[in-house]
Amino acid sequence: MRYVIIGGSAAATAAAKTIRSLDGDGVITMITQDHRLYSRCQLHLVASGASTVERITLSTPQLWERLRVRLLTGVTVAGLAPQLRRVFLDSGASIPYDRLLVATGSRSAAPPLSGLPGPLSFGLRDLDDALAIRDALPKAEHVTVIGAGLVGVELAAEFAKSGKHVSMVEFSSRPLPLQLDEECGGKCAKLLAAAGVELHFLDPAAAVERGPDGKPRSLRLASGIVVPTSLLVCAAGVRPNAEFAAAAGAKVGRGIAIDDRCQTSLPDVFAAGDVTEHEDSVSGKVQTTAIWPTAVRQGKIAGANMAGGDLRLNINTGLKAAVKVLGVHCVSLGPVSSPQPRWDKLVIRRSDSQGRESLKVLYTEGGLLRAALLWGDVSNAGLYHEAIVTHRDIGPDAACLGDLDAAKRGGAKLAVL
Amino acid sequence: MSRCQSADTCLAGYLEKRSDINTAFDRMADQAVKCGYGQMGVCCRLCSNGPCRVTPDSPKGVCGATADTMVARGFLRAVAAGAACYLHVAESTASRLKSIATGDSPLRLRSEKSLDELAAKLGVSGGSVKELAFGVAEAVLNDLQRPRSEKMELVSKLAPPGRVKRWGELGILPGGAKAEVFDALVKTSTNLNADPVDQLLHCLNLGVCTGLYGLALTNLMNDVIMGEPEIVAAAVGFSTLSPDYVNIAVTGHSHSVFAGLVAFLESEAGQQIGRDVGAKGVKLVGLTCVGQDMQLRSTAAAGHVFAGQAGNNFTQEALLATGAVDMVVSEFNCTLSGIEPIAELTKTKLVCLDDVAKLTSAELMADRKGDELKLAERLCRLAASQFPMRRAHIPVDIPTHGHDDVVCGVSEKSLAKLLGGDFAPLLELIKNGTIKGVAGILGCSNLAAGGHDVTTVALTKELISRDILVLSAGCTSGGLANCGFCSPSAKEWAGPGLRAVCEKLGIPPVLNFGPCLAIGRVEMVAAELAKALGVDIPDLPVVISAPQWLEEQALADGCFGLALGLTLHLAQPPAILGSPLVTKLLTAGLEELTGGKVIVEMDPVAAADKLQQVINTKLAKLGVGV
Amino acid sequence: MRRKLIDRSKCVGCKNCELACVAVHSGASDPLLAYLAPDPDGDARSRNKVELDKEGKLFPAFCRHCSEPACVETCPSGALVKGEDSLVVCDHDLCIGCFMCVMSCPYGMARPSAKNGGKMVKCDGCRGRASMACVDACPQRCLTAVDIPDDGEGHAIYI
Repeated sequence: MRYVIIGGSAAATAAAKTIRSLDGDGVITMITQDHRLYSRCQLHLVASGASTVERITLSTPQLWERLRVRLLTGVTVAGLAPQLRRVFLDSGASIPYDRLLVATGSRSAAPPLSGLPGPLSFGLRDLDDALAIRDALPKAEHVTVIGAGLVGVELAAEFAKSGKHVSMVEFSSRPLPLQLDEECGGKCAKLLAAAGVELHFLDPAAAVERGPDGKPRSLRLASGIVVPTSLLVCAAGVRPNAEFAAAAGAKVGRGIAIDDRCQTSLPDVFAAGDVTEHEDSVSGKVQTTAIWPTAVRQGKIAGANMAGGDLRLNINTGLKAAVKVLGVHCVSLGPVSSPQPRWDKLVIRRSDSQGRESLKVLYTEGGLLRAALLWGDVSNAGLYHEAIVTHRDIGPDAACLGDLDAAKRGGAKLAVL
Repeated sequence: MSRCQSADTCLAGYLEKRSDINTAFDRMADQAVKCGYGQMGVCCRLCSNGPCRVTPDSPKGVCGATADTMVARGFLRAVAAGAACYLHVAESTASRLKSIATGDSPLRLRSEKSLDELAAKLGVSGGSVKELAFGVAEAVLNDLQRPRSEKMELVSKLAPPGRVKRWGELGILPGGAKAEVFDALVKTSTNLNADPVDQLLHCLNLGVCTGLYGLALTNLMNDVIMGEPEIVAAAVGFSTLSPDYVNIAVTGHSHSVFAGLVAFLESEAGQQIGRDVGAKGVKLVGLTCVGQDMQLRSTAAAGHVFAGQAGNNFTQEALLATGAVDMVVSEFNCTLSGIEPIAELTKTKLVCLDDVAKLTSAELMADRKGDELKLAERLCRLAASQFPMRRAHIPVDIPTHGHDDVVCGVSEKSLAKLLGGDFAPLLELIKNGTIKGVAGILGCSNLAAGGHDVTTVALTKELISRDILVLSAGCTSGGLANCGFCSPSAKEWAGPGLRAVCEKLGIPPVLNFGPCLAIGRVEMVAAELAKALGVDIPDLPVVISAPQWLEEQALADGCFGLALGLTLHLAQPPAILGSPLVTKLLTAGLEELTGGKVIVEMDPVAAADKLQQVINTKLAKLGVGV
Repeated sequence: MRRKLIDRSKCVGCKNCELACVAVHSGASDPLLAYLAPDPDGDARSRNKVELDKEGKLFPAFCRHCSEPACVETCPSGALVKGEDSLVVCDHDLCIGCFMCVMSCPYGMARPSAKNGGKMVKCDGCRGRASMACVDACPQRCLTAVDIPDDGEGHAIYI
């Protein structure tokens, strides 16, 4: 059996490990543009200089040896011919497969601004971006980050910590608009402002203004405000690398459509990770998910099914985030920023005996927890997560939701593989 | 749970809003898991071979102590501490009376009538007011300071003869009260007394000390110094606090320690100090028992200088958080440690007059006999000096909270007066079945037992709906008053018989005796009823409950109730359940000895059932149809 | 394989297990001084917790070292690893404090360290120690150490 995996990050690696654990004889080939397996969640630390490439690297040469994976790095896939069961590389070579996994992830989606692309303006999606930013940082007087999502906020915080003059531009009214509600968004903005980040909300970027040497001078916003910028990072969203799959005839919406077994519309072709779209078990909508744990899970299930198994995704959601904003912990679960009007809202605020404030916002429907936002004290976040994703009935008494009781989880077995 | 509930829904709402402060209500959740050994009383930390716990594998401590010994020892030590607290107050009050009598103190006595009555009761004679006052104070102090081998002389003057006889038979007539406390500490130390029955009897002895000296005598001496209680309608709750005044909140148990401050604030000079800083004047704001005592005597003393009783012990953190309290002056408990960070937040000065009540950040301005008025002026100026800065910078957020028609000032004297001179009318109402019994809802407020004042309120409501008249003294009063039970409108919650009485006499179904010291006054009412009926106290259709007792003082109070032969209900047991012997003795065996017993029952309806059953048994024995 | 059996009916809430856990994870060599030892990372936080269920009954909560650990699956730094001895242990040198594990543990046993902004803490099964601190400390025999093969049910089992 010939297994071919396109991709080299979370989903791809999880799939490779799973396939090897089920099939000792099959040939596994992994084709990736990356040169190493690394934690994409820590790129902002490399970009700011707070961490190193070595520290965020997750693989060793021994890993691939042990898994007996034929690893082709620095290689780009040119196209896919499903009827021939072949993958074509940009070198002209082609690789046959019996089972194929597309785990090509996503790329930074550059906003359609004039002045982009150009020197000293980057996305932050892979190691090359991070290293380029890191190298340009010392000479940059003003750094501007477009997009106050998960990547943008952590990056801006890192830059501020290292003493850089940072501006952050966001078209919505608050940072982390998908993860936080108005109140916590306000708290987050306050923390960033206190750290020295200059914030611009409800004011999308309009154009990058460059000097005669091509380097950025400023970023003009829709309102007309001009933000001095010597280094620009666009963290305004990602786009799945699904084009070649679409060209090959796979059903692709925003991402490659997969069923509950992680299979695409093409025979013997599976997909996993940021490149896919599937029904989100919390929101009920078909959408892409761009978070590490979901990529790992999809990779495992895809891998298992490629090796002859029959596992299902069941729970699959991207609506969850654990964030640390300048030392304050926050966990967001479910559609916290866009709750259904029919849900009941419960807000629990307290100060602990050390004077630290914490806030819990819970949305419930009958005895079901639908969404939860924990700010400050994220202990037991996993219990809330479990209740939301498994639609576990935790009873009609909303007052008990404040601290999910142990009895409910005493005998619980998580529905994971 | 995230935050403890309160029967006072207004307070609960305010705490919900003020999530910027951390109070006992929040910490209750953090401390939700209790150690079972502690709860059962079978953890002993007395010696270095310990701490020992009674477990299935280790039923005895290293020294050989059984669970019975450990429990009894712990209980006696707690009762001793509680008795000591009350006796400290009694001694301090008697000392003050003495220094007023000798002229060392510039204060004057407000009720000579009370002095005459008290002197007569105690068998003290003298020509002048000063001689009488001196004689009374000396008699009390002498008794308190006697050695253990000399029985206290005033016991037989204060307690009904039937009780004194019984106590003599049981061997629990106390020697010098302080010596009794002292020896209780000795008994309960390592490898000394290990006889649980002896220790429980000593508890009863300390109960007698507490009840007669700590409670009864202190009340009567307070009457002399501060004036007698009079029934009056007053305002209670946070709404009594006005930011236009310099506000001094008080915590403690000794009204007489504040006698100087009260007198000073009644003077023009006192109020002018407040006006000089831009306020309308200076007011005292009541918290805990001393506030209840000020409320009790609000016609005689502190009339216009007492803003009102803002709340009971566990409301003090919230009260400080309002920002409107300029200074807190404490001389005893309950002075929660939790107020310190809040006082820092609101820049509220903390002062204590007795080092027994000193918090870390509180300034000790020791009360000395003779210097009362000088101290009062210093306190007044200190509080006033805080006013301008605080009103300029500290936000004030006072919720609408409380009632302005609370009937207070009830005592054994004022109640008799209301009834026409004695308790015969009350007995008549009991005999003809209009009132189905009398229950004392006494003692503290705690955050356990369902939440702040939750069981107190529920039990009270249950009892009055069954036409049982409720007399309340202690923080229970503060809680019940804030929830409307001491207002005339509370008659709507009473049964038909009790409601009719309320309407006729213009009283609420819950009579507010005020501070926990006044538990002694409730017991004096019981003694009067017994005398009128010609029976001993155990035969009365009267029960007592400390539904949300908090602390050691409550246990000492409880022991007095048991020594008197009353049935005492507690929602939460003290740390005794680890000993079958002690538990059985307190809940059953004691009845043969003193006539009293303990009922432990968490559910308010079941508790009311059990208490009513006890009352009915007594009524039947008296020949009153039920 | 060394595993732990937990009988919640025996628990009296004395929290000896919590204290013992703090002691072994503190910087002090003397367990009695554990509370006074400096703890800059907030690591000396108990990995287990005695809780109350909805009926107010005691529930001693322990990490089960699941056979399919959600924490390991979600960890983006490789700090959480299920070892050969079936224990799921966090390497604090690799932990970046992202708390995806805290968010994912269905039992709430992946916990933030006591220090704000710190790493995660979880039970390490007392790997490397002769015996498990909590088991040694329980006076009620609620916790027992057993040597039984790995049956896929996790390291700690509630009986």
